[in-house]
Amino acid sequence: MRFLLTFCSVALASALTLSTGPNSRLNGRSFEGDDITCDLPASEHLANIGSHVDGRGMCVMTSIEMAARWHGLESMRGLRDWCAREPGGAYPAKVDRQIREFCAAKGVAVPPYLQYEGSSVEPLLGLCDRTGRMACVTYGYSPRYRTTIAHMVCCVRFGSRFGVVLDNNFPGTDSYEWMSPAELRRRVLHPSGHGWIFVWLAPSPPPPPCNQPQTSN
Amino acid sequence: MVPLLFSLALTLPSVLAQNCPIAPGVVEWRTRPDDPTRVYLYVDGRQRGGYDWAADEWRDYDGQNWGPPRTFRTPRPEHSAANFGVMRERLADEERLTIQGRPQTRLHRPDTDSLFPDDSDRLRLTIIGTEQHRQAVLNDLINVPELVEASNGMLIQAYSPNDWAVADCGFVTSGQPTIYLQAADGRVLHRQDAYPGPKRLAAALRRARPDYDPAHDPNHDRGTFSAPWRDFPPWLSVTLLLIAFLTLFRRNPR
Repeated sequence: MRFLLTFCSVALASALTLSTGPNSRLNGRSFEGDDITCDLPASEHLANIGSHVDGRGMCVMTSIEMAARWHGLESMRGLRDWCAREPGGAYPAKVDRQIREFCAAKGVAVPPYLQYEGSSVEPLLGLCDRTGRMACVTYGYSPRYRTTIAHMVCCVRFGSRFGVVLDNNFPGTDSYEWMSPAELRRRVLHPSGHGWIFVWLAPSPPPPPCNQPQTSN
Repeated sequence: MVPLLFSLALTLPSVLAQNCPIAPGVVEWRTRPDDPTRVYLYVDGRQRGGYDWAADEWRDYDGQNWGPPRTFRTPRPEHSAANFGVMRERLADEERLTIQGRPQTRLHRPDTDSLFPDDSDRLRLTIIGTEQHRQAVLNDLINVPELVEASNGMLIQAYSPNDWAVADCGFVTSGQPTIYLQAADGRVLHRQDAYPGPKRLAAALRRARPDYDPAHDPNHDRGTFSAPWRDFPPWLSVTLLLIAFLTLFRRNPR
């Protein structure tokens, strides 16, 4: 019995360590008094799929369409599945082409967006957080995978204390991955030292309405 | 652009020599201002191909048809990584910023000034209603100068009443349409549940803006001053002149 208890304890501790990792933890929308900035409801989360042509991952367009939903870009709904009719995998120039062709096929204007490739990702992620924009970022590592990965996820918070990721391989409002901003930067740049960020420039949704503060005479 | 052309000039001959029967001649690369990511190869004045450096795609051109795309950059070996859809070998080695695919050449360091404006303190104008109701307001926000001016600098969004962004967040969604003006912190500065036209919305927005000061109203009528007597009827002018004449005459009878 003692052996069984010891074994179970070790197994449980190992499982917890693997699931949360030493430098990040899974959580909901809030953690230690901090809230995520881009609180997209779970009904709008998208799970990654493989291309219908070659089965390669569609994490880039999955992230980009989720961000479009956050920014109220209804004309971009269906972008990921439309792109999955081509071979999977993406890079910036391919994203440019596919968005252009998708909009032409739907007869809508291309919404403004920005793409950055490089190592100085903090200013852009900080600006996105201040302005309520959901950034799509490369993601090179997470304890969830236990190895180097080639992935794109949505950054829903990049504040002074926490960086938070919505991973399209683990969608859901209880699966946000919280870490320090420095750790998120490290994962965005891993392993090459260069990251890739995609941002829709449309405004974020309006804040919930509230009344004017009462003034005392 | 010059280093790119130079490197292309160095790499192209070896590529073209494999299966392209171009004889040496006057080689020139031409660009088009409306096509900033592409260069076109001309040999002896005839177009032979084009290269899209953003997509790393070269295509031969025989004068009538374009050939299939070919890449120039040597693919870097993938790390032993689980790949969920990022083609890391196609990411740029150098720092690059593009907006809708157009390279931003002034990028030295991606400080916040060179990215996009910090609009976090802007007023928010939100239209909630059917497609038809929303579109009527959105069209006027673009086309009616008075409304364009009144909404200048605002972040404008339009939603269907059942959209998640407004449906369960405390917004009234029953207007035709409902129009909100909010401060950045969410305070409602103005709300109306119908759209009586661009002039009345513009007036309401002007009054509701916390930065509105009537002293700064532009007066485009200045400089076109018109004398009030220009509009007098002729008989009144004659009468006034006659009275003035008689008054002068009586005071100086001799």
